Amino acid sequence: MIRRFVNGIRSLNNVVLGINARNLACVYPLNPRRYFPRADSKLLCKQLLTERRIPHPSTLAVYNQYRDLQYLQTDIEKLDGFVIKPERGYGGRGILVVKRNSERILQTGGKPVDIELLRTHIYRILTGCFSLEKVSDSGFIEQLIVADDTFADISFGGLPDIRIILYRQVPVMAMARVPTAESEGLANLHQGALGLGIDLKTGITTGAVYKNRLVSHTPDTNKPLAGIQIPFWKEIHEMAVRSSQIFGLGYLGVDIVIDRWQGPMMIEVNARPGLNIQLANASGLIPRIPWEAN
Amino acid sequence: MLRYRDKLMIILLVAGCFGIVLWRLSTVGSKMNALLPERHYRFMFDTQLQGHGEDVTVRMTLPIETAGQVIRDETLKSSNFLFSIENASSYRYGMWVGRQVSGQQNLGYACTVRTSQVRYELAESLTLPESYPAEVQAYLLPTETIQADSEEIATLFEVIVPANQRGNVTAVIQKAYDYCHRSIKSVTITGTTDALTCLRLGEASCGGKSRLFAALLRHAGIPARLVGGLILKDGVWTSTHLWVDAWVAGHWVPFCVLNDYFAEKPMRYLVLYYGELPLLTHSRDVNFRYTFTAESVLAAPEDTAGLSGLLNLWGLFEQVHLPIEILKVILLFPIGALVVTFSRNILGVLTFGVFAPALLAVAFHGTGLMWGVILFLAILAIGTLVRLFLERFQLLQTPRLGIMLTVTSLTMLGISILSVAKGLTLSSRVSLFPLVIISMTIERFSVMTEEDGLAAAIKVCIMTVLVACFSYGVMTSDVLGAIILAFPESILLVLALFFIIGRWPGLRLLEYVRFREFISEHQK
Repeated sequence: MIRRFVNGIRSLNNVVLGINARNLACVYPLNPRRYFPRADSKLLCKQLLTERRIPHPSTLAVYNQYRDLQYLQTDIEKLDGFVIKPERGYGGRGILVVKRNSERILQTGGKPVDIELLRTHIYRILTGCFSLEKVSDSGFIEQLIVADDTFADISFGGLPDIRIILYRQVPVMAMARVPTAESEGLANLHQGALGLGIDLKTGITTGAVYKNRLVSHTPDTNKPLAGIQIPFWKEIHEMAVRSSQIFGLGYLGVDIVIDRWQGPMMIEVNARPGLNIQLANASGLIPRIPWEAN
Repeated sequence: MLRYRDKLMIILLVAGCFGIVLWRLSTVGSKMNALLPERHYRFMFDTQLQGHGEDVTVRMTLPIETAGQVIRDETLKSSNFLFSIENASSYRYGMWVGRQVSGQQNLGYACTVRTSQVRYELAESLTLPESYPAEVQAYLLPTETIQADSEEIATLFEVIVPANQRGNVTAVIQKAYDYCHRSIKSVTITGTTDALTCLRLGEASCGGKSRLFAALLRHAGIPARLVGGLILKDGVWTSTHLWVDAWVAGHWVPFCVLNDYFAEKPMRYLVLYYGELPLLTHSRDVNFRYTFTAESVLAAPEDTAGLSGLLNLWGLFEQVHLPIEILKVILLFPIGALVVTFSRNILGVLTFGVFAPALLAVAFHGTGLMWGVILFLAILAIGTLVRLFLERFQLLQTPRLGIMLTVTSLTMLGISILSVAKGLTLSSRVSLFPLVIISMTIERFSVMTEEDGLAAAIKVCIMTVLVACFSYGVMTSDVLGAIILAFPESILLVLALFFIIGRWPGLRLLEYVRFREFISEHQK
């Protein structure tokens, strides 16, 4: 009994990548600190993506100072839908999705909003309410991505995304993050989103994690979570590899979304990707990483 | 994940630590005491009285200096009373005199005392000397309370000491001691019990027993004097104590027949006076109340064994005028940080701020653990409510933190004033409670409540307090304190541990919990 437990612990240590090992073996040796801003700053990241012609949502307006807010009205006048994002936000915080209904009234989450509220939201972004270090930040308006139907059955609002972890430009693990009612449209596992493990070769989901537990079906609607084919998988795979070459980061997580009309797009890069992806795939990163590449 | 350079660093640190220890030990030789800090007591006498317009006098015997007892840093609380000291060879009276006193008055006296243990080995046979020095002769005479000339004492002496041993000082003392220690029952009696009363009742407290013992010795021709004093301990008390010094072979040798110290005075016995004196007198009808308080403090050793330069660390510490308790906190802070590091990187516990728990532990040092935790949680609760209210204004971060800091300071002040009003002695100790750390913790607590929910924030809060308590436990440990003060170079070992944890790649304890489904997966 005790021996089995000790063996379990030992094998876990040889399979699962923990934060200590991630930092010591992956982040510190492969990710020079000076390249972190490329990942942490969304606008800088997009600039790099533009240079390499990697598809990503286009930036429609940037607000660096309070006085820039006077242009908000004109900036959004002709848009049918858009997203407000903080420059240095994290975990999907501070993102506001705004759409116009048939009468061209602005709505967020199905409720009407007026421009004053949007102005307040950007004001809060500028004060740093949503930024990593809680210091002043910039806000920007981005094209609205419309989710395709891949996860329509199992998602609730929000925009599912695909996270791929790369070690020295080699994809080692992937998962899809699907918002649920509980996560309030955020694709963040901490907040109750579903994490679906993806087979790297085929792009077919293998299983899922929900609130740190392995599950095979959606918690309330009981839809199967394995066997879902991610469309454009080859392109997504290739896009991940190509983008990993431009950041100078040897260990990174890239976030990709699939737009209904424009297909896969790169939205974010993370220099310290989380470890829950191992739960979603029910396997550890340690055996997957090509260590000998060192 | 230890690479060559990591191992080299760790070996250098460990070798450096032990190298310095060995070097210092070899230089000091057998005089280990020169390295170790001493334990002193901060002693306080506090009184409270209520005046009704009349003159009030309070007289208290103050600690005296003896061969093994040193008094330092005397301070006084005399309000509008006139204070004077009456000095004699066998006592020191502190006298507070107030004219037409009305209302509540607080008087007090405090000092730092270095007491020492005294212990004698008595030779098996010692003959009674022919004569004694003049100053000792007075302690052979019978007095009102030590009736050495009484028939009953003489009879008792003949019963307990066999005739052939009556000329042997050691034997007489042993027999008299055994009788007073064993045959007289120990009871708690207030008021003075003289030697005869003690003998007749067959029971007494320290006073009666000591007087009977002194009477027997004086009857046998051995000078004996009463010693009045206190038993020091960490805390508050009101009881006083009496024991006996006997003049043996040219020395005053202490005996406590109540607590069984034969030819011995324990370190915590504080000498106030010799002879039959009232320890404390005061005017009547003033609702007089008093307490004695003591706390043990560490101090530099008296004897530096001729060490100088870098070897004499104590001398260096003294030169920078650092109180040794503060020094202890400074030197133990790295160990507190080590506890936090261990909690985060080996256990995987989340806390507010990286070293906030260690800083809280330092703050608890000033307030005591229980009050520290209560204060922290109270201020956190109040601060969070204020923070919630501030949310309506959407202030910029720095001004908002400024408001939080103000609120924290005022809350602290309010609690201090309240505690004084309720008669708690908290006020003097909260001053060091770090306001900034608490303000930042409130900020983090509020942000976390908003982002991850109250349950998650409370969980992290509990973890922060637990890690702080654990750091506190380590940082207040006497053993660790003594080691680190005697051998500050052990900080090098702490650094080595930081290097080891800093390169430790294993899963954190909470990660095992998080990935526990893997265990069951793998065993299927």
